[in-house]
Amino acid sequence: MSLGAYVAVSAALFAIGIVTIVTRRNILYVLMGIEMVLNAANINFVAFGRHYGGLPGGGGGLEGKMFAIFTIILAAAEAAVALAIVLNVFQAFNSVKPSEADQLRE
Amino acid sequence: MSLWYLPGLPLLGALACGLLYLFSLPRRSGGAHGHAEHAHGSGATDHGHADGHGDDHGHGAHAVAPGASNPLFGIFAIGPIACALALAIAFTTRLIGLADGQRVIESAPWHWFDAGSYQIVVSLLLDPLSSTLVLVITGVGSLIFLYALGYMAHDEGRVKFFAYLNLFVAAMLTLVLSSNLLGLFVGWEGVGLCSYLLIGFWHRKGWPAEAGQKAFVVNRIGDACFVLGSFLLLRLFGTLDLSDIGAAVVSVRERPGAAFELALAALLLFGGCCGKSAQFPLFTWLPDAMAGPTPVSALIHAATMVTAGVYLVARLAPLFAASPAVLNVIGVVGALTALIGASTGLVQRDIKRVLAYSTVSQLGYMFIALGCGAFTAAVFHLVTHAFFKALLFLGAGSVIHGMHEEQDMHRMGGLRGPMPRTFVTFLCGAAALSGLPLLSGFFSKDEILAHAWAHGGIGVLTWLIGLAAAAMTAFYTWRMVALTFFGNARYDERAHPAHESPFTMTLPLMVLAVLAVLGGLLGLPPVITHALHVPHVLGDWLAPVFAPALALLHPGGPPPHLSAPIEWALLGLGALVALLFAHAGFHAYANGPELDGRLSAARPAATGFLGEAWKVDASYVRRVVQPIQRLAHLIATACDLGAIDGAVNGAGTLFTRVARASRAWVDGSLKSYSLWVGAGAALLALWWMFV
Amino acid sequence: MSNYLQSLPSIAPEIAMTVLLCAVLVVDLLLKGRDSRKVGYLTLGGLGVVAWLLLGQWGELGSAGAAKRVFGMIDIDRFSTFFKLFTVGSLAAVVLFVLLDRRERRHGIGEYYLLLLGAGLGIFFMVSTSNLLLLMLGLELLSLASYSLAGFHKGDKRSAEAAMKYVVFGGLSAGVMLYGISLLYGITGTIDLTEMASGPHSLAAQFSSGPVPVAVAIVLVLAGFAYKVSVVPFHFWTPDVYEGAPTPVTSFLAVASKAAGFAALLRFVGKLFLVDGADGAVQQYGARIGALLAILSALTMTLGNLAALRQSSMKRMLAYSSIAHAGYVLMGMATMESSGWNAAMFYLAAYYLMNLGAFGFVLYFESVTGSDDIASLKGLGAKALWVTVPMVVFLVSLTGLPPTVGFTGKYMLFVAGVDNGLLWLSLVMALNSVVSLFYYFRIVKALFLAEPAERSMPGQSALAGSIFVLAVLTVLFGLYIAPLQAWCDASVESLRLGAG
Repeated sequence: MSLGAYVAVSAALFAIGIVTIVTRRNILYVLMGIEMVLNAANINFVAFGRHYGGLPGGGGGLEGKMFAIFTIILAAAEAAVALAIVLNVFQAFNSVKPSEADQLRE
Repeated sequence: MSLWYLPGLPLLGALACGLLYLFSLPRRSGGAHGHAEHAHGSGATDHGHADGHGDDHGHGAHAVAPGASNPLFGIFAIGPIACALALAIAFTTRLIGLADGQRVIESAPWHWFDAGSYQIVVSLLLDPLSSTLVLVITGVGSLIFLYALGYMAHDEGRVKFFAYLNLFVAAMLTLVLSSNLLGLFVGWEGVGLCSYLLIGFWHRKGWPAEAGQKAFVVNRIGDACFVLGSFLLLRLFGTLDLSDIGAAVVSVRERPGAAFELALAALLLFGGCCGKSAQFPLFTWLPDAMAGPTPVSALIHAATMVTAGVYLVARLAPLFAASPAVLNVIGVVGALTALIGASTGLVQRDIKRVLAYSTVSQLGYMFIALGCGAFTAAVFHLVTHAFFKALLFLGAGSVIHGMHEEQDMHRMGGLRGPMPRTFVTFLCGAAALSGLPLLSGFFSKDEILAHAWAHGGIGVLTWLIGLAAAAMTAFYTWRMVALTFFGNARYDERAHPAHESPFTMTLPLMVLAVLAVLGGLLGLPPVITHALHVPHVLGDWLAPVFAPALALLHPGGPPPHLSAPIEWALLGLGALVALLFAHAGFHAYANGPELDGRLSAARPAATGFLGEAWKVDASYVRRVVQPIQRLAHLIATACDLGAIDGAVNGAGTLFTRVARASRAWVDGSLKSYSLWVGAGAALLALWWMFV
Repeated sequence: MSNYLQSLPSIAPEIAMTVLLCAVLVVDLLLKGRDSRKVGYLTLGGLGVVAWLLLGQWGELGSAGAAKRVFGMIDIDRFSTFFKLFTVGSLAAVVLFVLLDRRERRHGIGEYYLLLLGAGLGIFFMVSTSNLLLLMLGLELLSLASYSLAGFHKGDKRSAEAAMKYVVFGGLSAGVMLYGISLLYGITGTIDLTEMASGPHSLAAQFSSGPVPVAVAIVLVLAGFAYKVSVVPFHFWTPDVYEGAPTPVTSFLAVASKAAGFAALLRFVGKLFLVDGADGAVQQYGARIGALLAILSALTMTLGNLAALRQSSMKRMLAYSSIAHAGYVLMGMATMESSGWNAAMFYLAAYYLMNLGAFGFVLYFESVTGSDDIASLKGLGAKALWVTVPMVVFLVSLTGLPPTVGFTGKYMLFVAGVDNGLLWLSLVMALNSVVSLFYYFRIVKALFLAEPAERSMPGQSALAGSIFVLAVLTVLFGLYIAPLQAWCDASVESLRLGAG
């Protein structure tokens, strides 16, 4: 497959992720949207890494691949912290809908 | 040792006294601090009204005066200036050890900050001129500090008082030591601030606070001129370094059109001097400044701060020498001030006001000297005046102290009996002030008059006015002596017997009396130095400092000395006038103040005119203050209330409305926030690509 | 391998920080959470060691006169040391706040310090790298620790809500930024900023051939930074999180975390666009970035100040005020000239001092009145002069009036703006300062111009002392400018040298 195809998939995933974050009312879906955005970046990294791996002076594309691996770790850590916080919110508000946690506002 | 210690030590003293005062203030209940419950915190209010009068000030005094019972207080109060005096002597000795013409000690520069291409670097510089001033400030200052310890012994705010006094010395030393006009200005404003604080020290009485405000406001006029002059100098020279300015004056004057700006800058700076050194038309604050405690009058309003203007002109002598027209203005203003001050002193009843107008007039003499290019003579008179006027003020303070806060000479009389030490020392000061032969004031005043005569042209006019003022000076001085110390006691001797002041107060008087008598040796007139083969000590010391200015003033070499006969004649004339009018003044009032009553009855208009210092103040009120008040009222109602307040309040309301309207968009929900973020990023990207 | 060992001393502060972090974890476990104060003292001591190491490094950098890069990705230069030192200082202040606040003590278990140190370590890495991977890792380490800290008061609804909003926005912006970085990698084939500026596929070359992808990538990355430093319109999380989070955490977020964001932003923009002897293309798109930053700056300071006007909660007000201050710093950056960047650095240093002090004050009064409502301050001014007078100093400094460091900073920004053709922005800033006077002095008014309150003030001398010290520094650096200025100049200088 050409590089363009990968980038197109990643862009679509990015857009879907953003729309999910904006439209969904349930915090768990919002977190999934964030995961999608992160993974969109991941697709890019891997695809570009493969692309530059074939070019002279591209460093074997190692930077992109390493970045992808670290991003996976980041996503995992972020999900862990986020879920812990969601648990805390659930205990406090008895809900996982952001719209119902609205003590802090103008 | 760095020069920074000189202003640094008094600054530390000020901080120490200030902290001591703050920490020993009585605490209010429920104070903010964890350790608010100080041991004597609650006791302070109980003993607050204990009458601590009499000579004991040990017991109960600490409850009245916060911090004064602390054994460190004495060290904090006097220690710094004593150390500064020792340092000043050490530095001056080092200066003497240097070769003639290279007598400069400069401190490490302090980079304050960089404003673009202009760097502000402040450093301190000790040369013969500033060393003279530093010695006067720390020397006379030390004596006055010692005196103040006795004078303020019963005042509850004396720790605060010494904090201010130390701060003043620090600022004054900064003023005279700065190598840079900006640093000088810091000191200039610092002494102004301390002057304001100390004039209004007894602000609970009401009028001292007003006097302080008057001093502050009148000085603002002068300071505005000072700042404008500095800006002009910065534009002309590209630097505010004093020696650089002095060195570049000649080359700058060559530039087309620069001569006028140079003169304007000099004139503006002199405007600043008029404020600080109480010259016509800005002298009106100084007599009112006597509302402050007497040591303040002696230190700030006679010996040091008011001479800052003289110092500034002397320091920038090349600048002024480059504009002879400005020098003439200075001379005329000085003569006018000397005349107004001396004539007003003739009819005052308040002993401190006599001395205040006398100070105004003596400062006028110094400006007469500067006006005819006799910079050394001006500094000489500055030094001797610091001696004898400080002595007279302190003596007056001692009298006031012994008379239980009485300042009206009509209610004094015969004090030579109960106050012998004050009497003798006061006589020395009076003799020096009136220019009786062979005392310090005689030599310095006659040097000024001789220079004025030799200057020719407008100088002769100033000489004539100066001589007239000298006559009046002798008259009012001995009138003061007669009214205070001779004749019958005109107060209730049994109810409030006058008493001699404690030793801490009379010791400084004695030292100053010696200086006032012998100070003339610093600058004997040329005829005597030639005859006895002794040097003009001060003149030789200061010669390298003023050489460039004098070269600028007299491009064809120094002017010839007066011939010996003329000089003898001038000296003799001065002595004769002084003796004659001193005699007249003394005998007219030796038996009491009846002459005052007869004069005011015979010539009410004239005495009223003189009594109110030629009605300058009254005309300010009518011509300046009242119109400004009317204008201000107009502005306040029309512009401020209507336009500005309207705009501000309108803006406030507008912002509130905007904020309220935007609340709907900021509803605290994640959804709307995310939308904003997405839209923001998209807009930014679009702007980047297409705009 | 030996190369690696030789490089280790260069990251001694980071190593010390890691060791400290582990030590705190172990000691807290050993103490079983019984005496968390000991952990706090351990943290303070450790931070002292780190500060000492950093100062040593600063001295070495001065004598060697050059920055160096170790492990191929960590830049040891004056710029990073500047921010690391300030980070350590503000961490120490926050730890002190936690230690000294009686209310925090209830929650003040050892993890508090652990998380703070973790966040600090993240800052250390993100301010000293031009490798985007390490930058991202540092940023995430800071963010993850901050999310947990924001929600530290378990069971407190506001704290929980703050943490939730923070984590969602943090995740969103991290994702956006990461996507931008992936595009940058795709465009240039490298994740190192220096190579990106100068390598074979340099950004400038790519920009002239196809500006759209470059613009999208840069804007996405900038959006990530803008979130971190709360620039309008990426600021919405700020007031909510600042208000809901525990006050010591708020002060950490507002001061250390935000300044670190600025450090990374400065390095990112500096490496890519502030290149000496840049050719036409770089200069052109550098000017473009400058214009972008100028617009964001004007928006940020204006909206921040206007929103701050109507707040009744001190923390929320300070949140909006911190947004406005981000706008001021951006203005210095927008000049794209050394003078402006120096001013921005100086303003950041000023920002550290005055905001730490202001938050310390909030903490002090929160522990007394139980709320951060401005109205509850009424008439307390004379009750605790050792704290209220410093607060007045901080407010004067935040407004930008002499003789404080805030004035000097704003003055420098103003001059830099005028000198570099941003007169309009300088005027906007001046107007904004006037607006800010209104809300800052509402606090002064409440403190001093109301009837004295009956409430007594229990003393907290240590907290008051640290606030007082900050006030003294605020005034001191406002008057004695040269050392701080020289420090900022040297830092920006090292940034430019690194970019060459």
